[in-house]
Amino acid sequence: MMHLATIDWFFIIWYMLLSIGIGVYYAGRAGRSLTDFFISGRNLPWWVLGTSMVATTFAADTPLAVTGIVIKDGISGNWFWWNFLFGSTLTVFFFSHLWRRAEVITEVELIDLRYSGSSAKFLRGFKALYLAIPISSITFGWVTLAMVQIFKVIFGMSQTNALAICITITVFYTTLSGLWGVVATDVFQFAMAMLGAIVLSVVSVEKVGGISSFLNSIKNLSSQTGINYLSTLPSLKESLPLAFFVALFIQWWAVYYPGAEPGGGGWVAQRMLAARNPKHSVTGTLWFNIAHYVIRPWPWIITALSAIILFPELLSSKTANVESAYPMMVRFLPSGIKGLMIASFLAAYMSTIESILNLSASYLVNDFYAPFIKKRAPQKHYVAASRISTILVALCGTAFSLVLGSIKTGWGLIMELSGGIGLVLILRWYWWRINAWSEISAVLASASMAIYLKIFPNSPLPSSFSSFFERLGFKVSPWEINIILIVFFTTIVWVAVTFLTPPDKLEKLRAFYEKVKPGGFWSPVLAEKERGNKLRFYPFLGWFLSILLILFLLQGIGKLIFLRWQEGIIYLLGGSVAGFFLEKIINKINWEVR
Amino acid sequence: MKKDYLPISVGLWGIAVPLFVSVFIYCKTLPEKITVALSALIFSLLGLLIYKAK
Repeated sequence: MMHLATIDWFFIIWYMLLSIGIGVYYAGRAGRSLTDFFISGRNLPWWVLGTSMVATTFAADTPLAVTGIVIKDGISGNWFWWNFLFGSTLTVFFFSHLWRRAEVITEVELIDLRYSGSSAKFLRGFKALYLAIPISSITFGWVTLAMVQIFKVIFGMSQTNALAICITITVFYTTLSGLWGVVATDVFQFAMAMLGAIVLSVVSVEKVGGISSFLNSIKNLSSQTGINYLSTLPSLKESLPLAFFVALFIQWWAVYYPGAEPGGGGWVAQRMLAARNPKHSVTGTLWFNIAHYVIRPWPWIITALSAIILFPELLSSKTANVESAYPMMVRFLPSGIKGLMIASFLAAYMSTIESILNLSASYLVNDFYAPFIKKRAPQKHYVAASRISTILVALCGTAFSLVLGSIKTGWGLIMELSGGIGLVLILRWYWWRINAWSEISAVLASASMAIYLKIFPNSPLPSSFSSFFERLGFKVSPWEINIILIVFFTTIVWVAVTFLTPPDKLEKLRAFYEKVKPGGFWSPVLAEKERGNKLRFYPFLGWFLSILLILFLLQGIGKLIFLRWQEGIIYLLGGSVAGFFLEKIINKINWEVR
Repeated sequence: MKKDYLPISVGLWGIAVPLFVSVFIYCKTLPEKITVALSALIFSLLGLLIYKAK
């Protein structure tokens, strides 16, 4: 068990009090209406909404999972999640302003704006329950599991009491202050979480004898194991891992993953909807992407690599829990800073669960309770229902965390359950022919295929796909085969269902187009003079430049840390040029109306 | 002018002050002192920036 000094406890308790204080401050505003409780009165500036997005995505499990990836595959293993960059930046230029123009309260409410008939009603109610209970519980479960793992390593036991206190505090201020309190505490908690990560990485490098000694040790380990830990791309000398192929070409547009939903969704969409105007939605989402891919990962990567040097048994033992290497490094911190680090873990944890709670309550009340159970009640009644729902979701999530096996089980499960639905979510904005049945069939097809593959993992279907990709020269593992199969099957199903079912009513489609003005393929819906308003060039250029900006900055910072000054400066200059033109493009596009 | 995000600034300053104190009392090595002092400075500046933000 790790010894904590008085100053450590001071930081932990002081952090908790500050979080409660910030949350409680906003309680009055949140109670006014559902719009205030769930989307902060649509008045958030870009820096608050973008920071809140990244704080939510930075959960207690994220540094642990990245540590596990780096220890197993080196830095290049991070493409498992870096691939989502393509989808997230697509969201910035093609969807973030559309969400804001739609002026709905939740992602699920969009269904009511976009589709017509009883199928739309069914989809709204079904999706509200599906996202609020099983999907949120899985996310809540794996984040909580990570926190339990951290407590086990730090305190030598599960510390369920400590966790219960943590959950109670978060539920308390989230219930009171709604999204106002969530986003304000998020900004504070993101700063805390990053502070802890940066301090830990500096102390870790110091512990291995400074950066030069760190680099030499990693190079020695690379020659022993044959894994180039410092490379940001996988080796092409051996057969290419199928995981890399799936990550680069399928995952980012096909899979509905929390924080990286194709076309935006979940807490990302919630914050876009809360933006002051469409331009704030665009710049906030771009800031989220930069913070998410450029600012967050390096401290974790450095700490993970230092852990391999200090604990080489992590590489030799097949049973070692590589994810726990991250909290193991906390023992090297001096008193005072140790408490700060634990507070930073709590910050990462709380910023994620508070968002899950508020978001799930929004689905339950705005998309299930209000339209189906208690119609036309006063706003105060719905706010009270939202507060009760927040507590119910917390109870469900806590129960699920007790039965979930591992963090990665949760990640994988979510991706498999949602494989293939991403393309429908992208196309519903830009193609008139998508209808509620397209979404319903996609959700059912992906979930049923995922369940089938879980029950019959050795059936002939995955085996034949596996041998096919092996013959093509890929290094194959079952998870990627499952994803390919699920996406393939789901796409065939929803495309067939779309053409076999009638399109939505033209009045509905026209009303949606008039309100959101997405452009794209809507000819049958539009008057003759409006036709030809297809996709324009500038958003594509903005998408391309934002990818360049993020990749250049990510590489540049890495090169500077590894003392490769010349390359680092070149990358950063490249990033600056991309950033310069990106700013011009963002200012050139009229985000308000097309 | 109404300060919508004042509590965030207070939170950041609330961490910056004990961090500054930690530099002198608890940090032993020079890299530790520099990192913690810089972090405290960044927290103070972030707090100020948010205090001034509209």
